[in-house]
Amino acid sequence: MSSVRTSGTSFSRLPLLVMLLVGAGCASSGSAREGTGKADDKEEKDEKDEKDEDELEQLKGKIEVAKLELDLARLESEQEIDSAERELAEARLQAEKSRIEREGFTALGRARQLDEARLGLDRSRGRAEDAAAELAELESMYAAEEFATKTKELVLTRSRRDLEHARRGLDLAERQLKETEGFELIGKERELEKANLAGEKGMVEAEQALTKLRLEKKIAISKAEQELAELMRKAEKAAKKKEKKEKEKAEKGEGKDKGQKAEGEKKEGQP
Amino acid sequence: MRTALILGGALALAVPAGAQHIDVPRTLGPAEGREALGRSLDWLVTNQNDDGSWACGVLDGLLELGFSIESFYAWQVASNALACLALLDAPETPARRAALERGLKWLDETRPPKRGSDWDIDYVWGGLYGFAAASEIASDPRFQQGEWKTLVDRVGRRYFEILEKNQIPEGGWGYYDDPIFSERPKWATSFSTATVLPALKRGEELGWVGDPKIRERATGYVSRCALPNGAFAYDERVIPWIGGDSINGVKGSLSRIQVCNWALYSVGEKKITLDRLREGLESFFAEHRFLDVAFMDPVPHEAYYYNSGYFYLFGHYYAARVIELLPEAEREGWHARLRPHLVKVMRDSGASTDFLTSSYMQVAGTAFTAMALDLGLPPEAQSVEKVPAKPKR
Repeated sequence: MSSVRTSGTSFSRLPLLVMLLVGAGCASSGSAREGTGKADDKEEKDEKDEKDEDELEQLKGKIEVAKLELDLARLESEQEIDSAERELAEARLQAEKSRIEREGFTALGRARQLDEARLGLDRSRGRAEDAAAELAELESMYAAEEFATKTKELVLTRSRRDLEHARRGLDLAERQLKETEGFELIGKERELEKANLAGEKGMVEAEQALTKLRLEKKIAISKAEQELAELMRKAEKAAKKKEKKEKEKAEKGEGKDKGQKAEGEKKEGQP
Repeated sequence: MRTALILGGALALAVPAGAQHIDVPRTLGPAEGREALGRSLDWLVTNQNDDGSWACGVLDGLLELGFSIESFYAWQVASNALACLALLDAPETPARRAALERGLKWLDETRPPKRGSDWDIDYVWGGLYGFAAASEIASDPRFQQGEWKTLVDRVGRRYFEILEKNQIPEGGWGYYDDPIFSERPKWATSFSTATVLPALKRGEELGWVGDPKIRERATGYVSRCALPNGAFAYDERVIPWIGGDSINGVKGSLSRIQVCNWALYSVGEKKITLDRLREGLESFFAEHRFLDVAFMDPVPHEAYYYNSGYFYLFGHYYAARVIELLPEAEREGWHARLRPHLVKVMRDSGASTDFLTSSYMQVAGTAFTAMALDLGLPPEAQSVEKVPAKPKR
């Protein structure tokens, strides 16, 4: 069983990235409450931070879905390609069977069917001859019979009927042979040829369908991988942005602390 | 033949016997019987093969395809034994005597039939009638001395071997075997077994049958086939098939009743009384239409109550033998009723057959007819050829 897989190297950083995103979220929750500027600026900034935070959360969700979609695409690819490969194997068998049947009929079956019909005719002819001979024997047997007149009539009637049936059977066998020679064999030959062609066609179609499916599945997986990669790229970017902001915040907070500390020391030195 | 019947009918009580195909006088007298017998015997004498045999031992029609090849030979042997019996019983003439002697020689010289296949053991018929014929010939003073005695003794012992080998554990003889096929078959019928019961008894007297248990088991088999309604089951079953259109009803058993009653009475089975013999004969004539309908039907057991064509002449022969067991004063009355049913089916050629026109069937049918007719005739005072009359069986 083969399957279509795209490179997985771009997703090796995925767990690290997720941890980063989670860590970033946690870190930002404590610092959002701090504000140093004007009230409006602070509010605007807080809103923006909140929006960034939401985007990050959404990205996290999308990444999870994209991962599942990628798994699904791979699974579907495996299953459908496997099924198409089986169909191709069946089509190959069917094509082989049709070919063998065609060849078998040409080499053996045709002659056998013809011989069967000829044998059927000979048998029927034999039965008719036997029935005629049996009737002749019965007629001879009863020729000198004066007593068993009713039995004679019954037996001879039955024997004449048997002869008539045998003759009709012979006629049918003659017609059967003509039908076999003139139509049935030709029809069967054509039918087998048609089946042979259909088998070959089926095999080619199955091969083409498999090739097409492999390509389609490769594309589907690639798309899913790309979508995931894109989301991760965005998430990484957002995380870096956040990290950077937090760093900046932290640096600002450190400067303010230093000023406050100096101011406090100054206040402490005053009488 | 119709003319003969009409003339005969004018002499007898001209009442149709309810036959299906032809009006038959109710009775025929000894004169008509003798005339018919002459034609039957003439046919047998005329149709004997150069080698002394009758019929051919191979399939000679399309209607019996499916049996083993050997069965046709076995049936030829059986029909030859019957032909010999018919000539043995017949009023003797040089031609008949010569035919009988040639027939006996063939029966001695021909190889005994063998089992035809796993299921088809029709060769038993060769054993049954070969042995039955030999035992009766051995009782005839003409064949009780010298080479003839040796020959008859040899024939009797040879055909007894077939019987000894094929008696089923229950005591009977049949002519097919069922899976799982075995060297000693497992199926028998009442009527085929009955054909040899008296012969077995005679065979013991002649020293051909060493073990009387063979006859006792065979007698037991036939006796157990006797049903309370006077019929005999086709074969022995733990629960016999009865009722409806069963073959085991009286209407399907008309011929079996005769052969089984004759056999059991002849070997001293007490339950077969003279009255039972009479009842059997009465049923035979009362329900005779069922034999008439089956006559010459080439499909076995196709007729009502599963009657087959080949029950007909077989049954009439044994009916004649049953009549001979009755007090002498009664016999002619019964024979007179029997004769029309034999004469009406005779062909112009003198041959009789009831099932097919295969050569062995014609020989067997003609022999049965001749024997049945002969049994009902008083001995001739003197034959035309001035040959001393032979003693009656």
